[in-house]
Amino acid sequence: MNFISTHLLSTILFFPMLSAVVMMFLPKDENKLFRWFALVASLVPFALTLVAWFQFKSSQPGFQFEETYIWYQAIGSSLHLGVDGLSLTMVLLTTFLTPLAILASFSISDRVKPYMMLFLFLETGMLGVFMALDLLIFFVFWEVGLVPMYFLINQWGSANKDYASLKFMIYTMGGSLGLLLAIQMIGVLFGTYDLLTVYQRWNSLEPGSILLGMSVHTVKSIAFWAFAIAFAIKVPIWPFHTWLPDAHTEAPTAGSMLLAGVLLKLGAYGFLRLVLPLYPVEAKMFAGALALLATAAIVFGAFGSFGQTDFKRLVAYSSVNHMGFVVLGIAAAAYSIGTQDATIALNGAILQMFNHGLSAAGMFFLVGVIYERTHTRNLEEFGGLFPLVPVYGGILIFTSMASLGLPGLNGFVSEFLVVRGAFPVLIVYTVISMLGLLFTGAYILKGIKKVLHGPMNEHWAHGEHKLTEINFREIMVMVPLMALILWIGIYPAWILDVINKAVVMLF
Amino acid sequence: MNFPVLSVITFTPMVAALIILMLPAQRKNEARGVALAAATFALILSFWVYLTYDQAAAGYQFIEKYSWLPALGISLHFGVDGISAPLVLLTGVVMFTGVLISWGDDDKHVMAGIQDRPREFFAFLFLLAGGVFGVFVSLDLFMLFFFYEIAVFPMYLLIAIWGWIQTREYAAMKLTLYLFIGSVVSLVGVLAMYWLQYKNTGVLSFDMILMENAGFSQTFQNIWFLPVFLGFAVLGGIWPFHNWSPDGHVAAPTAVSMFHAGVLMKLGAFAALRVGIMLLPQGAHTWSWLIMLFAGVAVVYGAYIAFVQEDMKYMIGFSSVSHMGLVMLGMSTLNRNGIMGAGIQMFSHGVMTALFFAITGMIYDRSHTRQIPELGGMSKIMPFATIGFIIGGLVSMGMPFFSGFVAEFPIFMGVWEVQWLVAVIASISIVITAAYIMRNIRQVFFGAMPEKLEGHITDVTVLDKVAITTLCLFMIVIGLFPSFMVPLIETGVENVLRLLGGS
Amino acid sequence: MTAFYTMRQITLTFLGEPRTKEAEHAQETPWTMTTPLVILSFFAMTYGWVGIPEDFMGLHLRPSWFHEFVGSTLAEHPEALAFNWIPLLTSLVVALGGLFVGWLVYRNINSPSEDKLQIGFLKNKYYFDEIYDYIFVKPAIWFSEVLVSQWMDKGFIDGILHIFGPATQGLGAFIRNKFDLPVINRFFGDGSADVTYWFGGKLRAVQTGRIQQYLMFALVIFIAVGAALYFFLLA
Repeated sequence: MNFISTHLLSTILFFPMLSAVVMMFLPKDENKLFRWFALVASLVPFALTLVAWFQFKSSQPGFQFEETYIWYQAIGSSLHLGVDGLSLTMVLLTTFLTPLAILASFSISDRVKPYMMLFLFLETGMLGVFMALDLLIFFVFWEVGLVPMYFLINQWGSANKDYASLKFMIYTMGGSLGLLLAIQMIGVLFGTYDLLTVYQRWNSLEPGSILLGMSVHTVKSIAFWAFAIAFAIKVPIWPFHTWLPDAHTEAPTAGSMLLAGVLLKLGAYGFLRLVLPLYPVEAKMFAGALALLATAAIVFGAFGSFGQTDFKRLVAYSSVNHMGFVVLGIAAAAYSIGTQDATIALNGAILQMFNHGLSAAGMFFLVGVIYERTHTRNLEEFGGLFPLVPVYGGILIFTSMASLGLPGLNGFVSEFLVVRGAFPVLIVYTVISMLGLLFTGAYILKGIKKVLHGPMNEHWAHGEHKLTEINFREIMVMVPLMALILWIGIYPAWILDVINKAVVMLF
Repeated sequence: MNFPVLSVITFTPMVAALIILMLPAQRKNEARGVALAAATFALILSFWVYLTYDQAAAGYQFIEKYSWLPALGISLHFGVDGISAPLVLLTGVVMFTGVLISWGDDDKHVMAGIQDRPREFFAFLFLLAGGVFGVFVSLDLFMLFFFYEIAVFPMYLLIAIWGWIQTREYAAMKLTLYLFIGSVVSLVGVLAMYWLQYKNTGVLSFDMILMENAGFSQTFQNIWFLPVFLGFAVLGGIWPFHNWSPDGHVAAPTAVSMFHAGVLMKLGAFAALRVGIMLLPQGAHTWSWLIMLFAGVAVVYGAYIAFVQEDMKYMIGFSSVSHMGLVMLGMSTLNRNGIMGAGIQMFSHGVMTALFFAITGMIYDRSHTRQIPELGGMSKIMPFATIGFIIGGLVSMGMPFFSGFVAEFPIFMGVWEVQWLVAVIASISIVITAAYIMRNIRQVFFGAMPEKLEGHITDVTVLDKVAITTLCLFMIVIGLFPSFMVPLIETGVENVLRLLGGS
Repeated sequence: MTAFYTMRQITLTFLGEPRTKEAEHAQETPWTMTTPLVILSFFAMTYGWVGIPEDFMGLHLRPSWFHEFVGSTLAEHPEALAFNWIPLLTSLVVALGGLFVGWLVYRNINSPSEDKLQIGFLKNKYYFDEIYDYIFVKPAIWFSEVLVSQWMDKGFIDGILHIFGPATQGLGAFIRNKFDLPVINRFFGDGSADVTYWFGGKLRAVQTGRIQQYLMFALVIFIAVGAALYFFLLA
């Protein structure tokens, strides 16, 4: 027990990976064993995260549960872990969603063992990014997370999986090339990758001095863009978003849940943890551009979503749309750092990260539910299914409303905070993004309408294609999501408080 | 050290070669058995050397010195430092896995491994291995050269006799001549150093430790650094002298390719470091920009060409050009990070490329084609090999938590300290590599198996799996725990820096 | 107008002869529907009376309940308005008149074709929905389905991305086919072999087989090398 309490973060971090290694030695063809093993293995980090959550002192500045281990001493990198309010929220999201994703994957029967192992490896990869307090460790986990996701899409995906998986991987790797180079440069400059040290020394660099043959300002600008582009591709920010519809659509259901639920947040987290603190001046300078792109993401994401006939692709574009709000909040904060508007915007952005994780995961899962039964995602082939699957319909409407930002559910709280924070600072962009918000409603309702309402498509009503209702396991996947969605919508203080204190202390 | 472990390691393969040659030709399994025993023995010893090297004391250890021709200053002088100890281990590993891969099976109708005259094959292969060990542990220039040549000429026989029938003679001749010319060029430089040393001190000696402190003049070094470095670096596959390598790979049998890319190319880079940089440090300072240029080109050039190859061995061959380019890029930085990274990369790439060639050989033996468009769906029949290839691929891309990243990262850091533009351009190769590796993995191992191959492919043997596991373990362990190898290499790098900085 | 169309509705629905079979068989609504209707109609009829002024039709009644109720909540209790015959008479005439006209017009109409008020413009709600569709909905759909999804995302942005693959392929092939193979492989590599071959062929002429010539060469070389070594070593 004492070991766990002193090594809380590393236990949470490595438990999934170690479980995956153990899984390697389990006997073959025991699919049920694999599923339940993986599920339990993913619930343990969740339980530990709850422990961390309740032990976390939100008023205490700095990082908590810090651990440092020797890793690559020769170049000045150590396994330095720690969380603050921002990262703990993300860790909670990750450890919360992974068991649900695994539970959602119980219906997979093709090569269950490697599938589950990949999910566990993926979980470690995602958690590592959020917990990293060392730039090299951050990068390491950032890249490592790509590999399981590539294989999940490539091996268990749908028709266009080869294209989508390679696009996803190479695009993200190409983007993180700049990140790699910039991190190398920082390591060379300071002889260490420890984030806290880098924060200090980076910001105390004399403005006039020369680094590597260039002025500090040039170095910082280039490094800023290197970091920004890498994260921009991940979030994704328009126009670097086109990998997302393909990857999300082709990935297996649970893969999409984690892709949209967590992986996108890695990019936004990078902005908050690295870009804003390290480059406040450059961020402010380019905040307008960032806001423009965020607005484009909101508007074009909404229009793109509205124009889809594939249900999953519609939800995929909705991720572009919702993450646009996150970036809008970040841009507003970058522009007006230190003011109350910035704090509000950041609160909204971070909460939106969490909320979108929940609602997007839910939406993708529900699409998966209907896909498993009908083997089509084409909206035109559905119609009037509400009487056939009323429980499913109800859950779908609930989750859709969360995605839409209905007051009373979580989406509204975060979107409102973002808009409220951005409005005084970036009024034009905020106003334009309202157009996007209008079409958010449009595409959500389009989805609901095409699937549930209208004349019933008789094809699904009788015989072998008769639609079966959502089953107990599937409901169990949705219930925790819906509960959190409702709770945050009605009483967000429990999470907003943690986020707010972290934001106020950081910026 | 009382037990002459280094000479035992060096001469075991040669002795084994002799024993194998004395066996009757029909006794194939005995030949293989002796080979495996010798390889295992050498591996254990090299592991022991690796683990018991005293990192605190640093410097050359396990030293042995036997006079051979005192009149000319030639002695059998052995020793390892932090950089050569991992390479000795690497040779042991590649030798061990190479024997496992070449284990032919006379009964099965599947042509796997070496079935035609395994006796001669292993004899020549072990002669080569002995030469390789000798180069890594030599602290006498003459002996280094001696073993260097022993390591090169068996390649001709191995490729010409057991290689791919279509190009083996051309490739064998090209490879051997190319490497010999390279070694002759550096020999001239070595002789020049020998004479100058004699002129300065009046003592005829090839001893390298002596030469480290010889203090050759700046002009001398400026003239002779390039011939010496480039002559050896030809074996390292430096651009533009790299072309023997891809052709050699394609023609060579599997185990020979494993040796070629896994160990032989490291020989070249290592000798270039040992003789070129360490003995002519001022020359190195003068010419490092050129080496960096060549190496930088190699990194990107190799990756782009590998991208368009349809023959798996050509792809891996050019990928090796690219990765060895990284080694020499690291060396050209002449700083701690770069050279350290080069040292790690030599080991990491050696293991990785041995794995690649091993699996390619397994596929070729069963499908009789190396053309990627003609392959597919291998994962269903040989899942173990698939995972091995994927791991090798991830190392090749420099994916973190594998040894490739541990190696490439400090190299780039070292380059940043010298010329940031080179670092930026060289990093393009990372994405290119990722692209063609992932693409080719998917094409060869996943997807549908072509009809022609249906029913003809069998899974890899137990020995193959042992080889794959051994190689993968190294790459994963170093990737997760760099402290298993990096501090050791660092001690060797300290010595190099001392020589570079002091001058 | 309200009275007119109300009466039109009542006349067409409830008065006259049934026009369809369903109408013939129409039954009284169940009590679950009728009871609320009764309650509602009671209040519909009577509730208005809470607002009659105190001096309605010259009578002396209680002060208007509604006025007192709302007025007492206001900051300033306004004065009650006095009763006036004109609004009462006007609304009675209009309402009863409208009802009468509606009954008059529709009491004999049995089908829509006889109804002269079936004007297309009115019937189609002034075409508002169609206008909305034209101005807002169709452009939005076009914008989403064509412009954003196809032209911009798939066409333009992905188009740029799709250049990278073939570009890399092209560059790699170029390097290989235009430089690596012809220059390094053939020109230098095989070329040097050709040169050596040629050279060897020419040198073969030296192999005359005549001892005297060999001895001559040996002597010349010996002198040359010896001189070189002499100067090299002793200089």
